[in-house]
Amino acid sequence: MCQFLIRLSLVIILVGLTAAPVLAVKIKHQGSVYADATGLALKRPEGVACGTDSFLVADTENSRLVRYALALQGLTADAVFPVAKALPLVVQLNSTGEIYLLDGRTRTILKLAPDGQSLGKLEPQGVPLPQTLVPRSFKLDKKDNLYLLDIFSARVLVLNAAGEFLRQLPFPKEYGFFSDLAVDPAGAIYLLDSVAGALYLAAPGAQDFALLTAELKQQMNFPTSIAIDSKGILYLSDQYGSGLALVSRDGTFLGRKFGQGWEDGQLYYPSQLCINSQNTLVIADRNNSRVQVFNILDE
Amino acid sequence: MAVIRLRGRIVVLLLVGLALCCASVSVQAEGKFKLKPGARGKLCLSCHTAFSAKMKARYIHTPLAEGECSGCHNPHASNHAVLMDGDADAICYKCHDSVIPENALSRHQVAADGQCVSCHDPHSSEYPANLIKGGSALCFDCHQQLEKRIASNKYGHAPVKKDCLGCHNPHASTKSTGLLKKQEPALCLGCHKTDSRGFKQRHMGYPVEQGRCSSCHDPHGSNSGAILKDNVHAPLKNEMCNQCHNEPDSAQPFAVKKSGYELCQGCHYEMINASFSKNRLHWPLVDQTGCINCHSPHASSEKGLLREPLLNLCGKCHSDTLARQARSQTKHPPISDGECTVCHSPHASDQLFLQKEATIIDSCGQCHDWQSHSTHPLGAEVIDPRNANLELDCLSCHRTHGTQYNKFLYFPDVQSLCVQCHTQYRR
Repeated sequence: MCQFLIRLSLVIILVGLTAAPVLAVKIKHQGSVYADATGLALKRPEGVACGTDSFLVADTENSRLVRYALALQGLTADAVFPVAKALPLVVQLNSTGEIYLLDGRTRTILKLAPDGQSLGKLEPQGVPLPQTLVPRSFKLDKKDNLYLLDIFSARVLVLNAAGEFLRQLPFPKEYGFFSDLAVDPAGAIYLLDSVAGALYLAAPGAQDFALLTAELKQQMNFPTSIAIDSKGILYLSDQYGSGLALVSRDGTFLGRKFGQGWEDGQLYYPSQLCINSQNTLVIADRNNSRVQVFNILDE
Repeated sequence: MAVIRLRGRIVVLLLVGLALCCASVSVQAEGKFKLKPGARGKLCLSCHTAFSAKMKARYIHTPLAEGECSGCHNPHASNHAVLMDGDADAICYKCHDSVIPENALSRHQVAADGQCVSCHDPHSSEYPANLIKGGSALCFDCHQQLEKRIASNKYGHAPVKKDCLGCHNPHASTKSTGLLKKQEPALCLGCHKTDSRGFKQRHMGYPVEQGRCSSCHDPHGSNSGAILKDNVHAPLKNEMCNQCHNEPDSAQPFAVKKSGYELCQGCHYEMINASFSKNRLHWPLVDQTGCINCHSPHASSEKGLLREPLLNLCGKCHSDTLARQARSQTKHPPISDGECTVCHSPHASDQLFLQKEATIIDSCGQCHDWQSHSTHPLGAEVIDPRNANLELDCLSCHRTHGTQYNKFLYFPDVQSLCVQCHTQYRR
């Protein structure tokens, strides 16, 4: 009888463990950056792009980009790239260090060389009709293919490194508003619906998006940015909820991190986030006019 | 011998089975409260004499008529008011389980919440279906604004004057949104003939019988002829549908000539250009739906051809913000009054959150003369002690759409708030 009860308890525990989502992620604050090397403060930074040993900040209301070195001894600003007249909202780095940024003022994607020299606008080639496109966000994959969230024509455009059209995926039929997308190393594309609190997935090679989960609205307010870590966990920046939400690849909500506030590890209307290959998480803490850097650890 | 014994056992088993069945039937007959034979409702009414009047009503709820008071009430004890035998918002569904079909496209919130007694008298009534009142008067108990509008309309819609149930289902609809009995235009075509020359002429030859009538007409009546909604888009008023749509005899007469904001830009270029010259655009303006995310392209009962009252409209996307306001201890009047545009510019702005004013202090200062009630230093010269990159402004202490605390404070009391910066006073 006793043995039976022990076995039964073990079964119940095992079932419980497999049924309940477990947040097996620990996030440790590494540091925050508030200014460039001269002490000029960041002003409402909205974009961040992660490199292996550095990250780039779209210092939005100062119309500039600031690069910071990621080192054990600290986070130091090592370059400033002015982007006069632009309002950089989203920023990405390609494999050669070239910079792509979404200018909110013109709603175009601008290219910069690694040293900050302007390379002009991204001019997509061979895009099928309609030719009008309005990028709300974009991402680059390891091959430097660009995935452009075109809200005007309700599609995700995939362009190669030269800006030539490769393919397009229409938005799903019913949705609220798509603010961001993410691409995993295998080529799966995730679409983030801020209004509905939903995620859509186009598996590698798929021609359409399918609903992954529509259950997130109760867990978050208005997520606007999405990134993927090396384990495939999705990190959503909940802008109006001033926090982070973690979701597994199958759409299961894993939990929230951080809360609203001014201290380190607290967020105030966060914007873009990025994760590098060493699982360094960088968050544009927009309304705190700073960027916070964290290390994602296995728990 | 063995066969005889077996037969005997079978007979005994059959007799036992029969006895058990009889016992079960007997228990059922007495009901779960084992009332005396014939007692039932009579027994209850012997004390509840006031019910004798109820019993004279024209329509009596079936359980009551059959004396089954215990169908809804427990005669001994209950955890629910008036000795109900279950949750008041669920008990009706024990019998009326098909009131809201699973595949309903729209549900009357009152019914979905189980608030059946808002409309029905659970015992008896002079009106069919035990309704508390007859006709539209019952609906207008809640839909008072609509009642006022219908009463003041210059041009009425005949079915509305008769009964709301001419077009709406009271509980749910599996056919349409808005509890409509059928989808448009089928609902309208039930009464309106569309094959006359006059009808075609009035609609500029467009096959509107395939469209959605309520995109131009107000089914509850209006102050415009042909019950057009009170605010009509100029091209429609000028009978120039082809300004936006293909010609009526084309293959796709309702298709629009351009997509999104590009269609509207032809006339509203000043507004579009002004918006595009700002730093921050309200993104839906430039998505595939564009202007008609918020505006009705034909006609509207709202000013500015808005699709809905502003609060509903903004709340469609920003439901979390409105929910925060709803939870907030203190209400912010511009929000509760549905005046989002007092602070926000709906198309574009140079400021974060599409604020109209250059600074938060200017924005709040439109209504709040802050120096009159507070002399705390604020403004560009005052650095937030918590973060040197921030200036102190109203949002340093208050969250304008509300918090769970009084006066939109971020913290439960003033002391907890103040010591965030004035750390020397922390306990």
